Amino acid sequence: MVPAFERYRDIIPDFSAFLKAVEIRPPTHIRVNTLRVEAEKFRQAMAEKGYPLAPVAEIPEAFRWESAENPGSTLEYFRGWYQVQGLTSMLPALILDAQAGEHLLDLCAAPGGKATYLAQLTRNQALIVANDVSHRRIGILRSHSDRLGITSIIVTRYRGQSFPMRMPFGRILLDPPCSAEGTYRVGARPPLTGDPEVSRRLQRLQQMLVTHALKLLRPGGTVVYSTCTYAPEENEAVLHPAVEEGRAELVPIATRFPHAPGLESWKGHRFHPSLKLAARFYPHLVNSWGFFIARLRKPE
Amino acid sequence: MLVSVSPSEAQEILEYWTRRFGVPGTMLEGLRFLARGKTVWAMADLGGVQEILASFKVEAAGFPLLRKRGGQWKPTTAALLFFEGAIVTNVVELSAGRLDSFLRGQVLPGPFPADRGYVAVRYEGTVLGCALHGEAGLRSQLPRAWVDALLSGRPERGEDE
Repeated sequence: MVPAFERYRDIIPDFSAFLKAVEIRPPTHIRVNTLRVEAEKFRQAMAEKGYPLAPVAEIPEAFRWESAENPGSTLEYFRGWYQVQGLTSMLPALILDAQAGEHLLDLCAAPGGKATYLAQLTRNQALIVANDVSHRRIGILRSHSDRLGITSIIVTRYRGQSFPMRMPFGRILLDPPCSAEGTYRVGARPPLTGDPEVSRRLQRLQQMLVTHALKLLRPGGTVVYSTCTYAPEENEAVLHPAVEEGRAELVPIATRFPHAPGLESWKGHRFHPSLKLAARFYPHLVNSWGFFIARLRKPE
Repeated sequence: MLVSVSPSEAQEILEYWTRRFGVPGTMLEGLRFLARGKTVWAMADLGGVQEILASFKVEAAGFPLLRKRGGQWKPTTAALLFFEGAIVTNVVELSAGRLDSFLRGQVLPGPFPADRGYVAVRYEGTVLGCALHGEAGLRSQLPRAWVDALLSGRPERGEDE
């Protein structure tokens, strides 16, 4: 067992099933780029070429990749007909529920899976500022965006916590750097939470990003906060101060995927009770990466 | 800094796509052309674009449409993929036997039924991207990183956690 996970025994439901799940290789999921090709037509075309795909009932454009070949090795990938993306990684963009005509900000956007999905969901009709501090990762974001034929993304490169406050945004996606425990499945790199200093450093950064994201948000606007980690220090504990101080309020999440509620306490720390409205996705409940997602509203 | 092209440059861009590839002007409706250095980007002409361009230091907007090379326009593979079905002239169809050589950067000897200069390459009836049709033959202009990902099977860190 990964030692870092033992501390979650009391908070993860059916902990033994969770431990079994993290020792199994997760399936690969792809997202059809419906700006280019209709999902069912795509599935049929891929089947004819010998790439079977299994549908995901909850998301019409998502499929499980069933071929032994790498999904990056096809001409269809090259042509931007699909993007490789973890199933749970698709959820933050869906939960943000962006609409055509809106101005969106993805504050830590690279490598771009969520930002390009937002563009797809809004049919290239919402203006999306995709920001990231890393020059290298922005290069990857731009490459994906170009390949997928995205016309509604503007790329900027600022530190998220000091993104210029020159205009308010109606919706913000905040998927900050995290310890990535949720991506630990067999064969993956061990989680970073073994080192408490790493967790503390990440938490400080995440709190600065939340604080700044709320300042960048229009009153009544929405922030979706997501991480691919189980660590409460990087999830509920990060959001608690903003909720406690009335700078944000939790909003229920609409998703058909099974999940556990956010935590109201952890190791003697109490969190604002509304944090139970956040969602914790575990690999034994949804066979993908572990994820935490909270939808926040800035009071008017 | 990315700036909107002038009306005359926008007209030149529209005419280029129609003249070179037969792409009707209607296909470019709703796009705004922005330029920096030798690159022109195509961006959805949505409300607020100008405000964002003026407010932030922008690295890129939309997708790269054209680049100036030696005084002539070079279409990007991203643009050829975007216009895909509307491209009717200066298209070269690759046979199955030649695809691998093309992707690996070998010059394919002609003749090809296309004008000299930059052309669209199609495979199995669907556009793949840009090539240069010169005296020696046809040479790939596909983005190196995309081809590397295709040949290795590994997306450019495409798996989003």
